[in-house]
Amino acid sequence: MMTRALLVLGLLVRIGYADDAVRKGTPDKFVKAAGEAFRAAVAADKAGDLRDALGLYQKAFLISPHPSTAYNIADVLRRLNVLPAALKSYEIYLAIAPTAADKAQVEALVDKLTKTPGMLWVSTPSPSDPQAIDLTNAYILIDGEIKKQPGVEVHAGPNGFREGYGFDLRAGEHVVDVVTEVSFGSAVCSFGPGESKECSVRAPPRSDGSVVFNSNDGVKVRVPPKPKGRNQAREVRFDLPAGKQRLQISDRSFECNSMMIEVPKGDIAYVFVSTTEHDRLERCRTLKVVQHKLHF
Amino acid sequence: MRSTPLVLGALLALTSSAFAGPAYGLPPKPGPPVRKSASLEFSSEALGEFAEAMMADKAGDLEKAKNHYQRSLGDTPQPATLYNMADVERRMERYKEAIAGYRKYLDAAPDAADRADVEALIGKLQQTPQIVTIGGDDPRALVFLDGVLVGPSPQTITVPAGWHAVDRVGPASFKHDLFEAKPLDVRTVHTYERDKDEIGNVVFTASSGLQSSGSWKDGDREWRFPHRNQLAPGRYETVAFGEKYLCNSILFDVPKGNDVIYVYVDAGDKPDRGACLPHTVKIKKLVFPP
Repeated sequence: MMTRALLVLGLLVRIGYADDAVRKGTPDKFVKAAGEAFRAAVAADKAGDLRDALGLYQKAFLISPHPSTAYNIADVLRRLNVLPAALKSYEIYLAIAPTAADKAQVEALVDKLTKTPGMLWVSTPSPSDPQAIDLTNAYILIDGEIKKQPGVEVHAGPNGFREGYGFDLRAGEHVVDVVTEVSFGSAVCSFGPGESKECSVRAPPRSDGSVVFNSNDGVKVRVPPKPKGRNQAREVRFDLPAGKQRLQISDRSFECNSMMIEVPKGDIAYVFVSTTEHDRLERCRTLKVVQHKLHF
Repeated sequence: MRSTPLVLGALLALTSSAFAGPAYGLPPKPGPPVRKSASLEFSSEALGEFAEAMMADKAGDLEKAKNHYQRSLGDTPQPATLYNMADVERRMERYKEAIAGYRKYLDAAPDAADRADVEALIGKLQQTPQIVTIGGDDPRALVFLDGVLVGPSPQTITVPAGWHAVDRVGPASFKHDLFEAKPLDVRTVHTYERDKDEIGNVVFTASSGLQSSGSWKDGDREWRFPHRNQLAPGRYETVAFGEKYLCNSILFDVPKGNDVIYVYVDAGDKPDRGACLPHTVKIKKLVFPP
């Protein structure tokens, strides 16, 4: 990391601020002030004082934006491991220096940083809360994927988090479902690249039903499936007889193709529906359906 | 920036071929993103919003991208931001808004190097047929448009401008609607079924020109559009709305068995009350999805 930092610093000194492009209409006094802040930032950066360097680079940028400053802000933030803010600054750099010689390298770095996993810590409130869940004997599913089966003891939490389970995941928004024999709770939690986030899940102490349905974005199921009526919900548990059953699905206000599921006898059918299409489309979006049999 | 005209050219080609198709077709694909970069003309605040917009845009969160682009405009809107907002609207299939956005871009950048390409793109987008989504409550229903079976519900298709008749027929449901398609519109026709079952082996329906004319009687039997009822097997002939309304009687056969038939009387959408109306009858035996 130090080598990279020095290389970057070397580059920055070479493309220094004061002798570089001057924005149209920017009075010299602002260019001068930005240049002074930039030079002070480089000095602080070389001295390893990253917090001061960041503040000074940001000051320079706010006085008079410049690609080198945007890049250096991103680089300092990256070394401080504040990846979401670093990514934003790299994006600013790419936006104002679209023909930069290192564009491909920076884009590759952005791609790599964007994919840096974070850690989602799934917990539940203390037993003083009636809606606390027996996590040990629960399934934990994230975005429809089984992450933990019943029977695994909870772990002590890092960073002051309550006891629970940690999962390395891509950054972004995740739907966390916790299913026990007698309850179902869900939470939507998000975090940035490289971040750790506690996701506390609660559930009504009792929810009956052989089917658990959830989705990531506005997709609902008709509960219980019947030919008429519009009792639609997501994040829901309901009862259906064992065997092949048809679920009627809607996406916001749009009807979707119905789907067949297999409801196991004595177990629970878990159904998760997701879409990656944007929510302005005036129709049911393309849906991905995941089904699991949950056995207790 | 140098690559933009090439990308835009590819987009125009894609858009052009996507629009060439049958009268009722699949919606055109909006094509890939074409984004412009910011410049040092932006304020630092505008750059921050622009960067957030680009990140959301690349991540596929177009609504969030649009909001950040909007905030990036500030007091001195930059052409690149206006262009990118229009591009987001285009990819969201909001073609009216996209066209308005591209025009704002051209107004803000009268000497833009890609002016001809953007004007050509506006011209192509203006030819976008209306996109309509037809859905409802009954998952086993079939969708008909102007008497032609489109497929199982729901359906998203393009339709030519003008009045259209939609029928949604299920094993125990039937709903009929009319709508007017206007260029560049994106709309939804929800045919929510009634609370009670609509049953019967004959669905009797018609084009928009025959919709508001009430009912008529042939002997003891009362007829009206649209209607679903139970008829015994055999041949039926009726004179709609009196002898001078349609030029010929309506004639169709009801087969034996449990089949449901769909009878569509097409007399166009603008009846000329001064003379009898020519018409055609389309009949379809229905097979519902399992």
